[in-house]
Amino acid sequence: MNKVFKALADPTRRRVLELLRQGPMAAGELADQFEFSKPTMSAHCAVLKEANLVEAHKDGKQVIYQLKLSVLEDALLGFAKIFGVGETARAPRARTSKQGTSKQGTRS
Amino acid sequence: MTFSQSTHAQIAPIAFIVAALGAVDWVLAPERALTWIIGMGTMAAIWLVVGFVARSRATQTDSERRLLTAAAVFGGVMLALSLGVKLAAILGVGGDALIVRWKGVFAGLLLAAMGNAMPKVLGPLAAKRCSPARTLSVQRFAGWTFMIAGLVYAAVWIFATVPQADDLSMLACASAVILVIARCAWAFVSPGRNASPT
Repeated sequence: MNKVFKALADPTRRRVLELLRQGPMAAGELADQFEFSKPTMSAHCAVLKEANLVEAHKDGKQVIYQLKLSVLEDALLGFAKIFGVGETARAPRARTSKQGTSKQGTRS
Repeated sequence: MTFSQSTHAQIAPIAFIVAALGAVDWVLAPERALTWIIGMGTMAAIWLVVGFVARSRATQTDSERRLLTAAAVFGGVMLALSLGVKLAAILGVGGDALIVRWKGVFAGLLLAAMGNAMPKVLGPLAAKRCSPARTLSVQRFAGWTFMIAGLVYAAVWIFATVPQADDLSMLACASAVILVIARCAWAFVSPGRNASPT
């Protein structure tokens, strides 16, 4: 259960779960929805997979993620979203990520 | 600890409780020996099958094996509760009304647990055959509906009188089934629609 709380405490991971409610998505498609790098996105997905909140399967070269929430986990996701759990910790991390992205952009 | 060992470690306590309750029931009501033997034998069979399947590591993922263990423990809990209720009846604890109420509460909680697990267990499996987004949406709806109906069912058996509880619990169950069938039918007759989260 700790793994579930840890996974749901992060707004980015909650956003991933919200996106997966629309249906299964490839790792690349998910990464495109965020400003994070693909490895960062992959780490978020690994935490969700570890908590057994998503299922991943390979389709050719792609990894497809699919939602796997019980009703209680769904309710926890809703509560975490309503009360904005982890939102305060998000802003500095997002800025860091943006800086990282812009540095990468400058280098390339 | 290997997966096989942890599976046995989780199933052993509940199997022991089932065996103990079955043995006490047998001592107190030897005329119904066949019932107690079936109860204890079922638990032993579940344990054997799970132990056999858990050893075939090559064919199963960890998630599937965890599900198998949880199912075995859940089956054991159901058997233990049934044998416990029978024991209470033999000992005359609480009278018939209390036993009827506990059966109702147990059935309600079982329905709620089933509803809770439904989207997690069935979603990924069914989604491989149908439109994944629509399947997910329908199963989320069904999960929430059955879970709420199960909690209402259990609450009714706790708070209402027995005749009222009999009717109201059936009403809760039937309403849930009708709602889920209607939702499935809606998903079936609207092929062009994108399934929206419920």
